[in-house]
Amino acid sequence: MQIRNLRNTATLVLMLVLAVPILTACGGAPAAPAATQTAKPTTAAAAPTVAPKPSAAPAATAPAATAPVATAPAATAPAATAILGPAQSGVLRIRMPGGSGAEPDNVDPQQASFVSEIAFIMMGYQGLMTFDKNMKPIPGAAESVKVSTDGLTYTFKIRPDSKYSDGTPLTAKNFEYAWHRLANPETAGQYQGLACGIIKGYSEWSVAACQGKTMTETLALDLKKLEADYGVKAIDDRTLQIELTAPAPYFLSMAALWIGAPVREQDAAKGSDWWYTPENYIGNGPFVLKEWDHGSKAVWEVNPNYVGPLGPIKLKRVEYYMITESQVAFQAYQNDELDMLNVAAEDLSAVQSDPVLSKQIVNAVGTCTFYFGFNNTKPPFNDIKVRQAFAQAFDREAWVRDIFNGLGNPTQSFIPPGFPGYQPDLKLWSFDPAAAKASIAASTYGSVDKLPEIKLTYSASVRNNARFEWVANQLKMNLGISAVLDPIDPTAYSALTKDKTTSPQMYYLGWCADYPDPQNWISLFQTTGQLADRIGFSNPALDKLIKQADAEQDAAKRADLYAQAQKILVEAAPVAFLQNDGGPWLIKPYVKGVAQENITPIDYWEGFFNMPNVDVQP
Amino acid sequence: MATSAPTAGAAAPELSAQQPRSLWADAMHRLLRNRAAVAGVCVVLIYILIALFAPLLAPKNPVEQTARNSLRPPVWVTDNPNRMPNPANLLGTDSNGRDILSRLIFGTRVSLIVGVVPQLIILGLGVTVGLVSGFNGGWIDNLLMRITEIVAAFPDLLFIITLTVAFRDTLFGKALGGLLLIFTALAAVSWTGMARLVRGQVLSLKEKEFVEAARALGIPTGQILARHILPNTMAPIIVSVSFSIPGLIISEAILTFLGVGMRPSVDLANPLPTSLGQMMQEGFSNLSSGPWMLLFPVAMISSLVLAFTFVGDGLRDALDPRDREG
Amino acid sequence: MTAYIIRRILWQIPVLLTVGLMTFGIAKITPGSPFDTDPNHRQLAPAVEKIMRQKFGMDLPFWHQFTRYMFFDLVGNPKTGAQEFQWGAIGGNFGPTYTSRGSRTVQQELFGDRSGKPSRFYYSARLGLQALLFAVIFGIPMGVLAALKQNSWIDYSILFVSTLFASLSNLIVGFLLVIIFAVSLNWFTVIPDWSDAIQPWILPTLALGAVQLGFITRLTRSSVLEVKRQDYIRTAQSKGLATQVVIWRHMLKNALLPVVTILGPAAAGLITGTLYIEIIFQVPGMGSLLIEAIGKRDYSMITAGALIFVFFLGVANLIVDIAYGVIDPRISYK
Repeated sequence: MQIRNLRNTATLVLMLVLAVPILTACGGAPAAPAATQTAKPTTAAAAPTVAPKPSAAPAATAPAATAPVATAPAATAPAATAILGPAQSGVLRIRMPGGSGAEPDNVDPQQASFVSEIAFIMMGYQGLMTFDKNMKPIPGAAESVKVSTDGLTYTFKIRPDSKYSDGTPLTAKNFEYAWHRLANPETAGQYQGLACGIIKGYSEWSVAACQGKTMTETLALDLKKLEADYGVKAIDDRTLQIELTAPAPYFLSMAALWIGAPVREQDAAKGSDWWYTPENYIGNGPFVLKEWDHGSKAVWEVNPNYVGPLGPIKLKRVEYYMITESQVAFQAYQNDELDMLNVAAEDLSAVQSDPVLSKQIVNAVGTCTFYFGFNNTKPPFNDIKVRQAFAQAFDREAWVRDIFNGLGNPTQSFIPPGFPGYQPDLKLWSFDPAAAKASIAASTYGSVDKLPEIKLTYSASVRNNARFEWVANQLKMNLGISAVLDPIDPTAYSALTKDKTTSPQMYYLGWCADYPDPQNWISLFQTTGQLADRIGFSNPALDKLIKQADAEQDAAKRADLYAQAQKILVEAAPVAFLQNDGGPWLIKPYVKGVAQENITPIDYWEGFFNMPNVDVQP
Repeated sequence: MATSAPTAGAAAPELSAQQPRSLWADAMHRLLRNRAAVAGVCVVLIYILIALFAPLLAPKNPVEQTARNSLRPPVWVTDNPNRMPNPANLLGTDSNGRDILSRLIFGTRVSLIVGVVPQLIILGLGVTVGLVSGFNGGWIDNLLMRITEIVAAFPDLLFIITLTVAFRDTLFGKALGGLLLIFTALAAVSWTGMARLVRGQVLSLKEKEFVEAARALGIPTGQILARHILPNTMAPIIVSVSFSIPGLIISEAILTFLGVGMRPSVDLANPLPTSLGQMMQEGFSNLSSGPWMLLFPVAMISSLVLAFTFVGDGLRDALDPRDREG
Repeated sequence: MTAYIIRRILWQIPVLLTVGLMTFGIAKITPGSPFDTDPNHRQLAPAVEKIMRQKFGMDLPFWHQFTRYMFFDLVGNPKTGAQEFQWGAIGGNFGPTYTSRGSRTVQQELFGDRSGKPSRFYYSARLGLQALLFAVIFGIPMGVLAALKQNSWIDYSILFVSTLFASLSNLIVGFLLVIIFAVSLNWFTVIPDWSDAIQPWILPTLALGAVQLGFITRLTRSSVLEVKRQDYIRTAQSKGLATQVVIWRHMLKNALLPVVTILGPAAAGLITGTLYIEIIFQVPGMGSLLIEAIGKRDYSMITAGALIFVFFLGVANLIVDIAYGVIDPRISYK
């Protein structure tokens, strides 16, 4: 029995395994609440930082041994209610922007593509342009911009004495590097396709993203020459010139995006995950990344070297907290640990009926339009009459009221309110069940019971289950159609919706603005556009108008062309537009400068483009 | 024996002397004397009756949505003037204006099926593998236990996603609102804990004197396993089974959370429209606006699980061959 | 015994390979890819997706992708086009994460430090071990007590409490703790401050330990009851040994067997992280990363998760099997 000799050794190993956590922490888990409780008044009073420095830790444990029972003072002293500390002047604490509250996965400006990533990048960097409160592109890092009369050459003058947050100079060369990095096939960023065909030489150099060439084919090209022919050049330290292939009046908006953020060569050279370490994340944006506790929080401090329209900045610090569960975030807000919070539809009625919270509501307009996409190649939606019938059979008011608790607003057209190109009077498919039935009678099917089975395919989640149960109920009541619910795993669902041959018969989709220009909306419905392609929609008249509008330099004429295009789009009803997102944020009364009149839909967090006026004064 | 409880077997007499009743009658007798177990049995029976007679008991159709009637509180909650209860909905309504009481009554069905049916697969596979592995030892044990490790690491969630997408239009995928498929898959990977538990017991039991004696007497292996070893592993098996019931009810809810749960239905005649686990998940996302949406399903699940636990422990005590008195 | 341990470790190799192949294979056949993101936003241009697939070797045949992942391969450098040798999982390289668009590797995400802060693995492992320790420290005495006072109100109330937590999901238990201790009593904050060594760990440890606590309590109770009336305990008692000594020497030792058995898989599961507790208490652990990887089809992360789990499971089960011998010397492995 050799095993007996091992008994002592094994016991020792087991003891060690168990001892590690004891040594590191657990020690007196049940006793600890009292310990930290007593420590609160001292730490909160002495160093009321929201992100306590290590110096606070010894203080937190010291008094515990001597005064184990001290719950009473903490309960009476209002300042001591939060260990993280209550709000303090100049510090804004928010949930990580971008919907899910999750940590961004990649914040390299030339590779990023998701909302949360962009909200992160634009704290640390500023593009050549930025936006004002009315979503007009205005000079950002650039002091001025000149557009040649043919609309092909853009000359940006960088602000004098521009510096990065660490004090090193920022020149036109830095922007040249960033815009070259965007196009460089080596970068292989997800938004690389956005500028294809717009900047001169872009499509030729970025052959993989723009022309679908393989990496091997790309490497066989004379990349040096292609880079030399690329239309982005620094003329001198303060002048950057960008040449386009064709006039593109929306290019100034594009120059305000994260894709042209001036990443420094020496930072990017530190490896593919250079952006992971705050020391490398040096930019020219309004804030500097001081601390990034991945998966937990990111702490931004104001950039003393910032120049641009977002300054002078009153805030001293902004803190992003990665809270993925919205119920937890809601509790944190109520517990005074967050200063602003977007309200989930599910929480709205609790907020509205609460005497305190209801006074902290600020209504915001969203950047997205949601709609039912019909697969125009599959029966019965290859029949325009059926599509129009479904567009009319849907009670948008009730949808917004019942499912979103009034969050957002019903719409019948594509471009949302507040955005250039919005047409408030474009209402062709108001709720009218009788007209809808008549429309079906006029279709090739003749009557509702001759329609094939309608399957509502959607991305499965608790929230969507409730929504689509509601939708199915509507179809039943308004048209007498018994639809089948078909939830699918979200990623598998995304894969299905990419191509018209696999995309479902009828499904719920949305589009959110990249930049405020009708081109960013309407062009997606030309035959080759991303949204038209996945539902198999094609309308030659629409294609022609869009092509004309995209290159039109006269602003009024251009707006009119887009308006005509949108009208054709709504009439053809390839999709049924339903509602825009948006709705309330909760904002503590001590947060200044964030109110209904000075927030814009494209704010990275509410009030971002009103930065000079935003402050926290508890 | 001074420390043991006064109610049960305080002075257990010489045990092997008497055998007045049959094993089962005896066990039943002792089960009925255990008040907690009896209460548990009653609760489980009530739930079964609710599930069976749901259409008769439910005051409303659990699927029917009423316009402008969503998120109503239970009738006795009248403190919010903006949100008054609807007398027609005793326990309030959910975010789609459906009657919560009726949904709870119908939801019991799926939760009972989900909590109990996969146990059969888990028991069958787990106990067999555990017995064979523990009793044989050697390379068979090693092989079987390595297989349980592989199965324990099986990417069940991915597999379920693949199956639900692949079979979503077939009868297999649609049966019981998609649950048949999910629970076949879940049970197929959940038996490993049981197998290891049984094996651990068998490893120890097979070295015991009574097994040695049985072997010496030339009793066939099968009989030794069935007569001598299996009964002695009952205690941890029963605890484990009664413990995995809430586990399964909850994992059904988790699957919904992750997007591969039971399929919802708007068919007014659907016999299995929802489950308690799913209602719990819905309740959680509506926690601030409609806490009752969470409270009631949680209370139902907890009481069901507690009942199963007490029944399980009562059963264990009753079946304990050494624990016989009177 | 040494031979036994070595043999067990060797057995682990086919287990790891099978798990790797199985997980990688199933992940690959699951519909959807890492590039199928939220359809409500701009989708990856097909041309860009094509380069991405080449960059990650997703255009290779399955066997090639798998051997590259698991063993090693020659990989073309995108800058120079030269072929370079690259280890796979057996060399500690679990490949790039697709969610970071290949900027970071799986091992960096899970085991690397987070810009100067402890790794995600540290958070998961520490939380898991603490929870387990909590469950064992409270569960075993509670189970023994319940068994000794069988069918008394003490027994019933212990059973009630230990079952109550187990009957709720982690999500609800965790959230309940937040509501009670952070929002109502203000003893903790809803947002944890991880620079504190103790405070933010307490609630997640309790929440995570609660379910295990229930299981361990009940398992201990039933085993103690089982052992209580065994002949040798009676013999020991009749020999006049003090009751306490009898309980602790003989009873507990034998009763521990099933508890030790479930500790193995439980430890492996808890160490590799847990979704809900990490979400509720905002723990920067591995669990949420590994579960999200499934939804995002981050193949390398999914497979790494399975490999790491089965590695710890093997180690934990080995320790458990050795512990069997310690607890019951009659158990031997030949």
